[in-house]
Amino acid sequence: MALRFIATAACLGCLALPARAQEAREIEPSIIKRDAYREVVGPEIRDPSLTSPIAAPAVDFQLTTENKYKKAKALVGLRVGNDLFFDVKFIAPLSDGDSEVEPIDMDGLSKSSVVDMGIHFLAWNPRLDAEIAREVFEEYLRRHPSSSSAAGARPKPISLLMLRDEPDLRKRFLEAVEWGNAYFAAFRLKVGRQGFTYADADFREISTQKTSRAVEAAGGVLTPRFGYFGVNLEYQVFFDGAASTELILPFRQGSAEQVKKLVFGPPSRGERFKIQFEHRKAVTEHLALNPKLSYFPREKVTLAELPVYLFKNADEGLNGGVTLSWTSKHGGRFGMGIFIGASFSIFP
Amino acid sequence: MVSATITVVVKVKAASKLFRAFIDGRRILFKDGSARLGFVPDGGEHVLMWFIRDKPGTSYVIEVTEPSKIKMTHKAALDASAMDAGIYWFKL
Repeated sequence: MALRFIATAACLGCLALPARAQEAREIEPSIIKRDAYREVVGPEIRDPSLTSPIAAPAVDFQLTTENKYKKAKALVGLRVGNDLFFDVKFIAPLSDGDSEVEPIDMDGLSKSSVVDMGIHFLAWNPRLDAEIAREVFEEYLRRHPSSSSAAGARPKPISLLMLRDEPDLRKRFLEAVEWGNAYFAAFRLKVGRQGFTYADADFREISTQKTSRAVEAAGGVLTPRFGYFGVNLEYQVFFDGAASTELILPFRQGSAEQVKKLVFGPPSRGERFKIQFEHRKAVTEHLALNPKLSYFPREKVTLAELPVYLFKNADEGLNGGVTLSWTSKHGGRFGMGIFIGASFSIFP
Repeated sequence: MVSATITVVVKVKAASKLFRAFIDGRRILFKDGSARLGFVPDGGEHVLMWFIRDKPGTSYVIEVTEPSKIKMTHKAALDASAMDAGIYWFKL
């Protein structure tokens, strides 16, 4: 069993829109802290792992170590229209990974510095039965005469949250709402740059850089009850270094010898296609699941992953979880990842 | 004789992707969080509805700022149900 260890050093969620940040300051510090923390837990569409193609507009940062790889990820998301969103992720490897070790997720760009840009489209058309809402409103005013508009006063709105203390009215109002499904679509473009060093036939070292790239299309539906279901398609063109060889060479023409590890031959170009199905569901306030099933047709490899996000306390800044994975490659390998992190807030 | 048009201004502050607002069944398209809608006054009642789904704790504000006689501000933060829907009736 291969063991993957993932330590997420920092992971936060904070909203991208300054206007909202300003508004949050006006509310209450504890709400702000809880708000920032829960951004990490996320509703069904949140992606704390920064690995899914569809994500909510946010600013996230994450440091990750996985086996021999260390990575820093940063995400910036913005709304660019009523239904359009844009985000960009910056992913940088922080250490020299062993080129002969392939990550279990078979990401061909995992050793490159990557700029990952995405554009998202959302369609959602909820409805409310105004007649039932009117009945609820009038009953609410009967029970709360002080809320009634006095003569000359302005009319007032009503919402589900105002009916918190009136469970029967809240239930009726809720039944009048047809939430409907929300549909998501996304397109991503990834460009990665990676350096390679290899030796030619005369043992001279040659350094070169290669550009890997990937395109990704994704679509999904967020149901009112069962969470998010999505399908992601990705095509990658990437470069892999050749296997290294240890050579015993004479040291400075003398009788002593030195051992030198060299890679012979330039990096090879590879292509990979992936189809992935995913589900996201915030099961409780403290538990979220994001099972993923991927298939690589060219390699005929299946990968199953189950990130489980666990949160001790919504008002405390620590979070953690476990990712269980299995790949059919090499006759079947299990993987387990653990991520721990301390959320922080850009709010004071 | 042509009736004068009254402009209704609706403003919203919500970072959530999943926020929608409708007037008389038609979706309101916001630009920089604000929408100006023209109405020919007919004495009838109009309905503003809004819907939001997001994480618990998400706050939002929806306002009608013009005309003054129908001014309204509704501000809320989502509870554990992670959703809210509201309605506001007004006459011009």
